[in-house]
Amino acid sequence: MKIEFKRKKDTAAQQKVQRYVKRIEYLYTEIRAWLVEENLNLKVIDTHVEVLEQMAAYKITGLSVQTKTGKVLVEIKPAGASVIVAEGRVDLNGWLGTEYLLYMLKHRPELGKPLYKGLDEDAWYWIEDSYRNRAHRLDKTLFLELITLVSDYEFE
Amino acid sequence: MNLSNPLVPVWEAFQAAEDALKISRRVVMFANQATDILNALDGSELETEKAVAIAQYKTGRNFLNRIKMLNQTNTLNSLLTQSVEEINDLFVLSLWATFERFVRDFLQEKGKKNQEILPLALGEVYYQQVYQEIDYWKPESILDLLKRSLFKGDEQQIGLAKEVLK
Repeated sequence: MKIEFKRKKDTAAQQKVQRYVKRIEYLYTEIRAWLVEENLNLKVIDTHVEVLEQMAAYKITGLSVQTKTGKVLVEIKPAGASVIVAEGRVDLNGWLGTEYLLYMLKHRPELGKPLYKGLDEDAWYWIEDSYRNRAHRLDKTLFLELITLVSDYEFE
Repeated sequence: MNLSNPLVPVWEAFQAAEDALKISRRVVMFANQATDILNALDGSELETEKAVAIAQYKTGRNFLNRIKMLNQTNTLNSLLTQSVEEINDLFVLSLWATFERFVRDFLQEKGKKNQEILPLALGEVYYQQVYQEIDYWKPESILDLLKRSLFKGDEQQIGLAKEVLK
C-alpha cells in the first residue's frame, strides 16, 4: 500500500508507520477474502484516509464496505501507529457507532503481567470490554459481528 | 480510606452513555425514516399502508417530544457524532482525574505515620505540611514514585499511565 508522507519526525517514525501499514494491508486482504468467501453481495471500495500523529502525518488507504445499492455499512479507517498498549489502531465506523481494532503483540512473560487475556499471537484484536481485560483475535465471524454492532445490519 | 477501584463507576457511566447515544441514533433514524416514508406517499397506496406510515410518523414524533437538541433535522451525523467525540474526551479526562485523586489520597493516608515522629509537636505539623504538599506534586513525579516503589518489576504499567497523561 502506498504511503504518502506529509511529515515525519525521523527514520524510526517512518519505519514504525511502514510496519503498521504492512499489518493493515494484511488485514485488508483478510477482510476482502472473508467477504468473498461468505458471498454476502457486498462491495469494498478503497478510500483515502489522512492519519495525523505526533511522529508523522501521512495518507493511506481505508476501506468502505457497502451494500450493492451503495449503503455504507462500515468505514474502515486507520487511526494511527502510536497507540497505548498496542502497535496500531484501525477504527470501524458505522452510522450507529465505532469499534476499535488494535494490533497487539503476543504476551511476552519477560514484560510482566499481560494487560489482556487471549493474546496468543501477534495479530489484530478487538477488546470486548477493557474492564474485563479480554482481547479477541479478529476472525471472519467476529468481523461480521462488528459490522452489525456499528451498523445494525443483520447478515442472513 | 476506601480502596475499591474508583474507576469502575466512571467506566460504567461511560458505557451507559455509549448505550444511550446508540439508542438516540436509532430513535432519530427511525423518526427520519418515518417522515420520509410519509412524505413519499402519493395517494395511490392502500389504506393500511397509509395508516401504518402515519402511525410510525406519530411514534417517531412522540419519541422526540420535549427533547432539546435531537429533534432538529440532520442531527444524526453532525450533532450526535460531535457529542460522541466530546463525551469520549470527557470520560478520559474524568478517568484520569479520578485516578490521580485516588493516588493522592492514598499517599496522604500513608503519610499519617509522620504524625508519630518525635517530638510530637513536630510530627503533627510536619504531617500537615506533607499532606498539603501532596496535592501540589506533579503527576509525573507521583508516577515516578510509584514506578520506583509499588511497580518495581512492572514498570511498563507506569509507562502506559504516562502515555495517558500526555
